[in-house]
Amino acid sequence: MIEFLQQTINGLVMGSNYVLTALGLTLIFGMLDMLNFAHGELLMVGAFVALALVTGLGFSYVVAIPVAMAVVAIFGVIIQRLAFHPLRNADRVSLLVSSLGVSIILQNLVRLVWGPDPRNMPSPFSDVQIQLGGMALNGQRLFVVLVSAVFIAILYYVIQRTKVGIAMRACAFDMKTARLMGIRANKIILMTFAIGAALAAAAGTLLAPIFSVYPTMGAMATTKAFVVVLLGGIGNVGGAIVGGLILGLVETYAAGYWSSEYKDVIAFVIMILVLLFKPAGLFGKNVQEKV
Amino acid sequence: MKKYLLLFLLALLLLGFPLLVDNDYFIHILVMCGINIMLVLSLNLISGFAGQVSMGHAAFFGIGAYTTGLLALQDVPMWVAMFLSAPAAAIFGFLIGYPVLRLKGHFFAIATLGFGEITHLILNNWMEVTNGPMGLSGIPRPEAILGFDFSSKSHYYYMMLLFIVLLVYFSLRMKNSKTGRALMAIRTDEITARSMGINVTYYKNLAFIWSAAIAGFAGAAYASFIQFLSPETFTTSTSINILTMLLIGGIGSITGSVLGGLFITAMSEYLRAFAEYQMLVYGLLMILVVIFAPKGLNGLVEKGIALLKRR
Repeated sequence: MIEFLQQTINGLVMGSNYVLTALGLTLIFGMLDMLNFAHGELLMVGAFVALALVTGLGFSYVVAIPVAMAVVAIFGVIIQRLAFHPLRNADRVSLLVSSLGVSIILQNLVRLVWGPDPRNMPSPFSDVQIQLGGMALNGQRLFVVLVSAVFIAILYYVIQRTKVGIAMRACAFDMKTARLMGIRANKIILMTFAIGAALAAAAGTLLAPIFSVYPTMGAMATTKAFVVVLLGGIGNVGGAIVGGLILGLVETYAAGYWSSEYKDVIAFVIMILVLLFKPAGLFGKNVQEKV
Repeated sequence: MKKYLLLFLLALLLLGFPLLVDNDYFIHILVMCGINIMLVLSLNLISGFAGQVSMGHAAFFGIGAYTTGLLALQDVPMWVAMFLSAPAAAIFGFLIGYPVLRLKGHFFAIATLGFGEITHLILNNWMEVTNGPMGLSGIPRPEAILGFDFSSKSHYYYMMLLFIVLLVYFSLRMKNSKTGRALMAIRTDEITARSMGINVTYYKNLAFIWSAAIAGFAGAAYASFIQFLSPETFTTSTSINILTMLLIGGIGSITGSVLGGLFITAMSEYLRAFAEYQMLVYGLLMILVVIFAPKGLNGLVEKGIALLKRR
């Protein structure tokens, strides 16, 4: 039982991380009908920026998180302007390719600056052990779950309740109609890129002390985030939250009780099953496409 | 007439090349170019003609290569093993394509990406069969045929040349057939194509199965040439590499596929000293090509020819 609870906490750590990464991706996917393969790289860049702040400039870990988020948000906006905005009227495939290009550039730029070796991120919570009814909880893991929960709650509130959030959802649902309703779509797209990038950076910095920081960490994050997006349904924020948690838990249970080598296979098998049986996502309805 | 003369000269040059240049390293690069060109041409069938971006082509390449390697190590004659690799990859192409190609939009790209990851993980972890990260070694050379015993690299060169010529011919025939026109209609607008009575799912699957089979055969060629297989050759970054070659060459164009494969393989060989910057350059090239030259190298060449003709 205690092992099961421990696995559940670990699953929530992974799950909340997937949620943070997938939120920006699902919104952008919904708005631009675009597969953004550069999204996971923002997570990686966020982790490296935070690492530089902590080890190089002597920032404390807690302060480094929001700073890294802000830096990466600006980064996201710049990328959108340079690599994606010029293609707004082009074929959807061009956007995909452009994002692949951005992903390759970011990965290799970071590799050039920091080298390919994994690095450790110091965190004040890593050494804290909390005893809870026979369970030993690592402070950093608890910190990840709590902070992620706060971020997710804030984002959920913003998207469901505020005017900007409604505009975002409208754009993700139907860009053309949203424009006709007087929504400044370009501004909303930029904002979504900024928010998505900031959340991805948060995911990267939060997970960095648990796993190490290395230039290719973004690639797997992107793929996993796509699985979450498909699970939850494209453009569906609530779906992404539930989907991310499901994926994190299933993967961790699979690694704990079955095989840690094949845990990644499970994620992709789930994805293919979803595509087979519920292509609109677990919570989506199948909509017939019209001309 | 002039066209045929040019073609004849090109054929003469390609056939005589190993006799003129007696440099093993150079021939080795050309054979690698050939394998990559096969891969790009195979990707062009599904991504170029049918407009469905496959992000997991390295998986079919890998399935073909491992099929050949495993069969050959079980003492199956090499040529038989090589020709079985195509149907093996095609079966997986069908299994993944049949459910996913019904869906419109980006699902195919994501599903193939997932399939590529699964294949790599299985190749890497299924120790009993694939020997895991250590890979397969000691794959024999193909048996001697028509005076070619494959002891020298130039024999492989002629084999690749034959495969590519056949493949270009096949691609041309496909492009100019009912199938090709159906695929291009699907690429332009799926809904319109459907309402014109084109069986969209059937044609997309047809293109994908051929594409997978040819990628598998490229894998067989690779296995017989390198004689060693490692799972690390068949990762998503290889898939993306193939896609980059296609894009830089010119998506949908047969000449472009050949140019892209040749250009990128040769370039990465000669930029080996700058390996650190090489990927950076690729990334930049990809973005610049999609923004400024969406038709790739082939588009630029065509523009150049048109300019020359106008004079």
